[in-house]
Amino acid sequence: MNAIETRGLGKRYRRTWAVRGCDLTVPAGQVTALVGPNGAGKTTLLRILAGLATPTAGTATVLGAAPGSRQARATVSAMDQTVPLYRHLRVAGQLAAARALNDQWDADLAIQRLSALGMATSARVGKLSAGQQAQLALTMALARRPRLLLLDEPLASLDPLARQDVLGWLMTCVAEDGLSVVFSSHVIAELERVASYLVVLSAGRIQVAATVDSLLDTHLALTGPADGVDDLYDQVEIVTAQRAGRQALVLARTGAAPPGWAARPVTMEELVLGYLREPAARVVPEPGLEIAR
Amino acid sequence: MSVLRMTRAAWYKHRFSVVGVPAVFLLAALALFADSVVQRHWLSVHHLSGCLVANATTGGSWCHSAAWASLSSPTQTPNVIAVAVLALPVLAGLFAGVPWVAREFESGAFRFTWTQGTGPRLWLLGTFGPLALLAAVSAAIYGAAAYWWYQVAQWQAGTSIWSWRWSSFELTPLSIAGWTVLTMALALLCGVLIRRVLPAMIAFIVTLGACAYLSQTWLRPWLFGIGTAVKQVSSSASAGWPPSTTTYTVQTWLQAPGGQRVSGLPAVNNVGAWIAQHHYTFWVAYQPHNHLIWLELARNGILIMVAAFAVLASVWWLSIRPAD
Repeated sequence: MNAIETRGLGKRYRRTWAVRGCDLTVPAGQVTALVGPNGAGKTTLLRILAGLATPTAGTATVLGAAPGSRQARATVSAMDQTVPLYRHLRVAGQLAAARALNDQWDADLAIQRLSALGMATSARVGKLSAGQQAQLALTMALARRPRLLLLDEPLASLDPLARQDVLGWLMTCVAEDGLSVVFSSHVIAELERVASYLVVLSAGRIQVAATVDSLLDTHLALTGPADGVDDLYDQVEIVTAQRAGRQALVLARTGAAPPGWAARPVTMEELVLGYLREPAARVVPEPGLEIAR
Repeated sequence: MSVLRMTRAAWYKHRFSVVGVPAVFLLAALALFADSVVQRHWLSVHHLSGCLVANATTGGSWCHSAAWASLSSPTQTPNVIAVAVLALPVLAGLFAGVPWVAREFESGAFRFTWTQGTGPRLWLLGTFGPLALLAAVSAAIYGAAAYWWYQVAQWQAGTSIWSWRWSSFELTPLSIAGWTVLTMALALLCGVLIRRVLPAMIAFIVTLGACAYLSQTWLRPWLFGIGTAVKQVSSSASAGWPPSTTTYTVQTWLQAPGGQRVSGLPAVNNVGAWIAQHHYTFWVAYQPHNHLIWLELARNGILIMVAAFAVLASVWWLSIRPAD
């Protein structure tokens, strides 16, 4: 079963499409990085998948169920980028409210995690720092023991140490529970360490959706003469080309360097930035294709 | 089961208003009850307890005179307090009902609940239900205290005790509970439609004001005109009418011997003689006292129906526009 499947998914706010014609398949058991520039539609897509927003067009399923359905709510947990919490409550009250709302609740996990973070349960939620609030929200999202976790900018308010800690904790949960995670972030360098699947969203459309390994295997950074770029178009599939004086740096979709060009593996950040610079370039699997893990 | 879970969560989230609204109603009830006990004791000491019966034939003008004689001057304070008493359900809706839902939308906190295994519909009804229920029950107790208090207050104000007066009609447990349920439902609807606390509060005041206006100017008069008893009083106008102060006159008219109604009276000195001369009869359509409870049930039933419609409209609107 795929973690996420969307077909022709669209969401319009008045006259503006936040997400449009979105065909996406994300296999289960992956840590998926959802990246894109501001206003690309990441939050809208995640809110639709979390059942927080209704699509204007198309369909979506999460773990085979419609977002917002009883089945989906039981298995999908989400953390919105606004870090929704009842800020007038104390941490203990917030945990009690979450426990009351859920059939399944791992109180030990929540308490252990908050203890490890040194967060007092008597503290008022509104008095916690933005980073602590994000940690609390993330803890409660995971204490539900979901099978799919949707995180919108979970790292935004965290310091570098906390980011590492959160990513490490997430990876532990993925390894132990087979959890699927989709999270959006602008911190591409950190995503590279944990993400096994990459989705690039640009101007409301899916631009890239593939495993990170397959993307890194099929792309190369080519360096060569700037005046040879035009000829290169006939030899390889170029995603983007940047000229700097007599030199050119090309992101190409190829397994081998053409003659006269030096090749090196690309980093995930180069790959993402390359695609974001060229919105017309796409790497999207066939709709309906079940992607093997 | 899910509703109980949501109710428990609502307790954690909104403890202050869950406790605060019933507490305010019950404290106000206690104050009215205490004041009424003191006043009734005073009446008992002065052998005036019989004047609190809503029938002029038992107390009559003697009670009225006693009121004027025993009070230095009849005061309008009880009437002012009566209006304040009726304002309490409005304040509960305004300061507890509207923010209950609208603040969750405004702060985005609803997203927490919606991503914790609870859907919007359950969130809405589980959040609204406990407060509405608690408010309605405590308002009914408050209404009982208000009803008991107003019997004395009317007398203190120097007015006769008449159950059909609008203030008497509204100051009953049934009416106050009915209005409280309606205010809570309208607060919910405004909160769900507008999703911002202050604008929703303004919309709530306007909507509730419109409902109260329609209730007083149209609904109540319309209901009072249904199922009236008709009686020929006498051949002379108003003689023998009203049969008692516990009835409510809806309409009076003159009828010609042929059965047709006569419109208007001529400008003559002796109307009675004029009626007798033309062999007209004087008729009255009225509500007997035993209809009052049914009319009260009907009016408050309509308030509850409007409240139910507001709740259903809120659920429907939330289903088509959950969060965006």
